[in-house]
Amino acid sequence: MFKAKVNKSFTKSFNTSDVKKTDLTLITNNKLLLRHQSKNFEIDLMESNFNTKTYHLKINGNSYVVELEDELAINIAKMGFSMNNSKKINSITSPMPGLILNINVKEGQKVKNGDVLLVLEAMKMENSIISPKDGIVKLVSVKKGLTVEKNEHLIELS
Amino acid sequence: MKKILIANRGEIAIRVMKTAKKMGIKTVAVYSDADKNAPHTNFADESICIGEPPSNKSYLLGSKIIEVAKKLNVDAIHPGYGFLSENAGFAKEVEDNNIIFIGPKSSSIATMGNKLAAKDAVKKYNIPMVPGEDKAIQSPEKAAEIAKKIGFPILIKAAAGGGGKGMRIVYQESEILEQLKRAISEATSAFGDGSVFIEKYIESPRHIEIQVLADSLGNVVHLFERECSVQRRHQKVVEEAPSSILTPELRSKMGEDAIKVAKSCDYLGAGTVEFLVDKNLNYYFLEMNTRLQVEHPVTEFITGVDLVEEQINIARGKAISFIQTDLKIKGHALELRVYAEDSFQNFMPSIGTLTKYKLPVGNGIRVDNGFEEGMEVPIYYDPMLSKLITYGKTRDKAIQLMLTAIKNYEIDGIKTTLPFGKFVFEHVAFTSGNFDTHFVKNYFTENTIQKIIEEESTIAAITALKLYLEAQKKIKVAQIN
Repeated sequence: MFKAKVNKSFTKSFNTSDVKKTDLTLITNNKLLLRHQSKNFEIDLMESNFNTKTYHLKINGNSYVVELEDELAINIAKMGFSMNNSKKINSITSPMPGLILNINVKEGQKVKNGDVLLVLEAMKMENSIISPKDGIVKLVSVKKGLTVEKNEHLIELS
Repeated sequence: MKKILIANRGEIAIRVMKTAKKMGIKTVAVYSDADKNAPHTNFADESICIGEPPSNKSYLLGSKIIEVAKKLNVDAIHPGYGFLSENAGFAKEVEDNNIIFIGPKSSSIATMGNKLAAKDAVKKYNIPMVPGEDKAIQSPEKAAEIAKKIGFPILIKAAAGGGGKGMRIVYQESEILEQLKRAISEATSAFGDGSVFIEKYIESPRHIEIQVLADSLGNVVHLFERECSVQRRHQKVVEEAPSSILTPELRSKMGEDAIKVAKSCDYLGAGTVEFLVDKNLNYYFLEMNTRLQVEHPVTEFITGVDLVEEQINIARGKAISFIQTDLKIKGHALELRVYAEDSFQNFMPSIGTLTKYKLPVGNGIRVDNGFEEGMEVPIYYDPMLSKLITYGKTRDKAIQLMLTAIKNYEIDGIKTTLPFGKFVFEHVAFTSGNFDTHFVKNYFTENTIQKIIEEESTIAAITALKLYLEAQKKIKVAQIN
C-alpha cells in the first residue's frame, strides 16, 4: 500500500498491483511516457529523490510534486502519531506579491463576510481582498503603500 | 529618418527594433533600473536609463524621454503599445520638439483616447453604437439611476481606458458603490484620468476589431479583422485572423465603417477599430485604439504586410505600399498571449525567476518575446512574457501547430497561460468557432479545472510510484550483488 500526496493537496492511495497495469517508458533522460487507460501522457521529470520519496513532475506544462508514503509510514499515522491541526481561516495572507493600495479596516473593527478588508495592487490591477467570515479585526500587520510578498501576513481576524 | 527611439520595453520594443534594423534605421532603447539587462535594452544600438522601476518614474516620463531623444539626435519616437502610446499630451510634446511621432496626430489621439469624445466624433457617420450614457459620472446615485434606465447588467468604463483597466461589470445595485470606486481609482492610477461612464453590458458578444492604415496623402485602407473573444478580466488572451463568423459581405461592411471611423478623426498611421458583434451578427462600435495593437502579428501573417514598416513609412510622409484591392486574406493565424499567471488559480500573477525558458521554433511559428532564461519577471509591469503566434493554410492547421508549439514552449520557475492555451485550442467551442467573450466563464470553470488537476495529479502519482518502485528494485539488485 502506498499513499501519494500531490502538491500537498490531492491524496490518492494505491496498491502496488494497481500500477502494474500502466506502462511507463523512458523516452530520454528526463522525458517519460505513461500510458494510463489507453491515454498517453508525456511527462517531464524535473527532480527525483528516492530517499525522501519525492518526485517533481511536469504534465502539460503543469508542475506536480508527489510525496509518497509507504505502508509503514501509513501505519504509524494510523496509530495516532501524525499531527492533525485543523486551522480556521483567521489569517489573511497576500495571495500574490504587490502593493498595499488601501486598508479599509481598523483593528477592533467588526467585519462581515464579503467586506473589503484591503486593496492590493499587482501588475497594475487592483484586487479587493475580502473577509472570508464575520469577525473582528484583531491585527493589521501591513501599512498602506507597503510592498508585500506572496503569502505575507496581512490581517488577523478573530 | 535615421534613428528612432522606442519609448517602450519588452517584446514590443524588440519587435519595432527588428523592423527598424531591417530598414537600416538605428534604434535607441530606454529602460528603467529594473530592465538594465533586459533583452530590449541589449537589442538596441544605443540604450539609456530613464529612471526607477515603477513606470511613473521611468516609462511614463514623457518629457524625460523627449530630452533623451534630443540629446541622442533621434529623428522619430515609436511609442509601442501601453505606456505613452495613447497619450495625446506626449504626442503633442514630441511634435512640438520637432521629433516625428510614429503614430497619429495628437488631436486624433485626444479624440479617440477619450471614449466619450470618440462616440461624439463617430456619431455623424451612422455607425451603430452600444446604448448608454455618454457623459462622465462620479456619484453612485447617478450611476444607479442610469443603470435603472438601461437595465442591469451595466458596464462601468474608464473614458481614458484600455486593456480592461478601470472597467467593471455591475449586476445589481448593491455593487455599484464599491465597483464605481474601484473603477475610478484604477482609471486614475492607470491613465491619470478618473472619469468613467456607463454602457449597457452586451451579453455574449464577440469582440472583433478591424486593422486600419491611413497615410498623409489621404489613403485609408483596412486589413480585415481580428477576433479577440477569448478573454479573462476583459483582457484578450487568444486572438485570431480571420474571424470564423464573418461573411465576406459583413467583413467589407465593417471594414468600410472602420475606415469611416479613421476618417472621422483625421487618422494617420496604424490603428484599430473595435466592434462588439452580437449573436445575430449585429455590430456596435466600441472604440478606436490609436496605436499598434498587441495582436497585430496575426494580421501580418494573413496579409503579408509588416505593419511597423508601414507605420514608419507613413511617418516619413510616404504612401501606404498597397491599395485595398491588392489585399487578400491568405491562410489563418492564431495568437496566444503568454502571461506570467497561474491559469488554474484565477489567472493570478505568478512572479519568480525563469529557471528554464526555451521558445518553440518551426515553420509558421512566430514568438514575439521579451524574456530569456534566468530573468526575473518584474512586478512593476504588465505580466506578458511573449506572444506565441502560429500560421496555417487553414484554421485547423493553425490550431494543430499552436498545440505543438505550446508543447515545445518550455518554461520553469513560474506559472503561465500556456496550459490555458492548450485548453482553449483543444476545446470544441473554440475549434467549432462557436464561442463568445464568456469563454472562460462558460467553459474554464472551477469544476473543469478541478477535473484537469485531478487527472494530472493521478498521472503524476502513478508515475512517481512507478519510478520509486523501479529505483527500489535496482537498489535491491545492487544489495544482492
